[in-house]
Amino acid sequence: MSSQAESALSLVQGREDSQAKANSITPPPEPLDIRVPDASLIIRSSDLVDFRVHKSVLAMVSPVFGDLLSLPQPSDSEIVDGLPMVQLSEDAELLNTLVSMLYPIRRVMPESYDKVLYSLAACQKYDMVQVQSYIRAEVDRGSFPGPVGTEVFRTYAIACGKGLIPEMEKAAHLTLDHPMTFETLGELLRFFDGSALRDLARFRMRCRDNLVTCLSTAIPTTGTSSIRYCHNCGDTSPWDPLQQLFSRNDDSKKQGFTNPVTPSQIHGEYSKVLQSPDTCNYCKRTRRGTKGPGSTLSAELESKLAQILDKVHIFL
Amino acid sequence: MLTSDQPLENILFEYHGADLILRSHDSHHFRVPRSYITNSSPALDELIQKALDPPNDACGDASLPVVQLPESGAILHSLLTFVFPVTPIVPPTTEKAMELLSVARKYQMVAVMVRIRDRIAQQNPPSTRLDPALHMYSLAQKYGFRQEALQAAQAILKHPVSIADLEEKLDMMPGTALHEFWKYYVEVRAILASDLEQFMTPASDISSALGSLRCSASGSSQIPRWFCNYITSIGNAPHLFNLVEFNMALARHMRDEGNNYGCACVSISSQIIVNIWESLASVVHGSLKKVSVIEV
Repeated sequence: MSSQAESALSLVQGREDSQAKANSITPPPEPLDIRVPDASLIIRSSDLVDFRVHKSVLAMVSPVFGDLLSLPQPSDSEIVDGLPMVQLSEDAELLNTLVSMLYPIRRVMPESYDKVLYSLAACQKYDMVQVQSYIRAEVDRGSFPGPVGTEVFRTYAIACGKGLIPEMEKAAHLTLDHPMTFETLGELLRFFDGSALRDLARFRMRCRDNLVTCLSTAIPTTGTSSIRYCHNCGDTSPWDPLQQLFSRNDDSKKQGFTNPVTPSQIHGEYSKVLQSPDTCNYCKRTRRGTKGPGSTLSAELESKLAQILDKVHIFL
Repeated sequence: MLTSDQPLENILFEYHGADLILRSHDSHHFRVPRSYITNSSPALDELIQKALDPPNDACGDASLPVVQLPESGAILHSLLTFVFPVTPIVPPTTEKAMELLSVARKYQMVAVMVRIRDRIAQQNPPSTRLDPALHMYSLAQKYGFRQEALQAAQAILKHPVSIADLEEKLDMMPGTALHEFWKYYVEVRAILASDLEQFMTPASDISSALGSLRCSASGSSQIPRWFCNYITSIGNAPHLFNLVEFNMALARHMRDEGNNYGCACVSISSQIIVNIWESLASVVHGSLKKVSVIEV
């Protein structure tokens, strides 16, 4: 490696011992082709790859590093190529992404949303607010990968573990598009820690209840205590179709987990309950169902229900 | 046997002939005869030999050699009650009891482990209630105790298992333990379903258990349809294997067949019910025995 290359800001192959090689599943990231002749610090990844950076830049984006670097260095601190070295717990791939965001150079995009989350967690740890905001903006713009499919359950679990509240909220809402059962979670269960799964289950039930409540007010002809007429005996008695949809009802609760919790799903269940026959309280004969609100959900109501969902949060 | 600046409560014995001091991480001293310890634990024997060779400078009261151990005084005290001929003391909580067991395993105290397990079983018989079972399963997974994990898993099987059913208890088990339990549950269901299908064939014991019972709603196998449905439901949800659910299934059938005086199930004898239940129980227990391996 030439001396010019050695002074480049980027990956400089560090001391890769045999253990690190054995543990490495993916090859080290490609070096960034940027020359920085006056690097003042080396940060070393957990897999022993060295990154040359400027102390001043690092201190500017990260108050944590700012404080760390302002402290007097111990006399036995390691020096590499004449530069002080700081050992970090993040791997080279992650540091490659973060370092690429410190300078006006080509950004190294995380390969997956999981890696986006780990990058965001590192930003959180080092208090790199601007970099974290930039990554979030890139995800929102679609430039960086976002969560897809049932992967959102894993995303939620990882975000919980890392304390990434916005990502946790976002992932929790995305899980509503999928059933949430042990069968569907399967291997993903391993990613959940502590109360994360219980909180997600509670969130799901709150979303379901809020959708049901909203439906009751949005469809005025079928309020929460409507009357059902029996064509056999003429009895009229109060009938509350919504009660069958609230999570206090065991069947409804089960449906909340085996089905998605979306406006169209809840609207469909509501229509079905309205139209289904039941038993007359007086003559005990089968009473025919009520005309429902229709099988299609209007765009206006769907939008209203979606707004209701947006207001439900993981943490009360 | 126990000395320290702040003695533990409930010191139950003082052993004579001590030639060694075991010191806990919280500085409690246990004055014990070395031979008892080394006979009970090859691991402690090795540890003591290493600690005393060369003779250590750390001497406690009466100039006895001291061996430092990383466990707390409370756990060591409890452990030693299983080594010496005194009344054994199991810690009051399940967490601490599992910790005691794990310390006994760490020191390769095989006979002591047996005694601890016996004592735990005497003092706290395995609960079939869901909360203690989930708690025990989680602890057994944490410490890697297969026997306790299996026992707890079988207790959990007596309850409905779905996210909707467990919602408020989902935080009692970490995701890894929940995943391991789910794998066990899936395997149990598969084996149960297969064994119960076999059970419903005419060649199985069920035919003799049913005797001359002729149900008006029998399937092609001459086994009452309500019973077939009930058995099939156990394969999907093992918690339905209990006498209450069985009687409810029979009651539902009798209600549906209320006007059909030709159905023998309406006057089914208690002996036939006992026969059916014992045959079914034999199959279910046999199936559960097949799924004895839980990854811990």
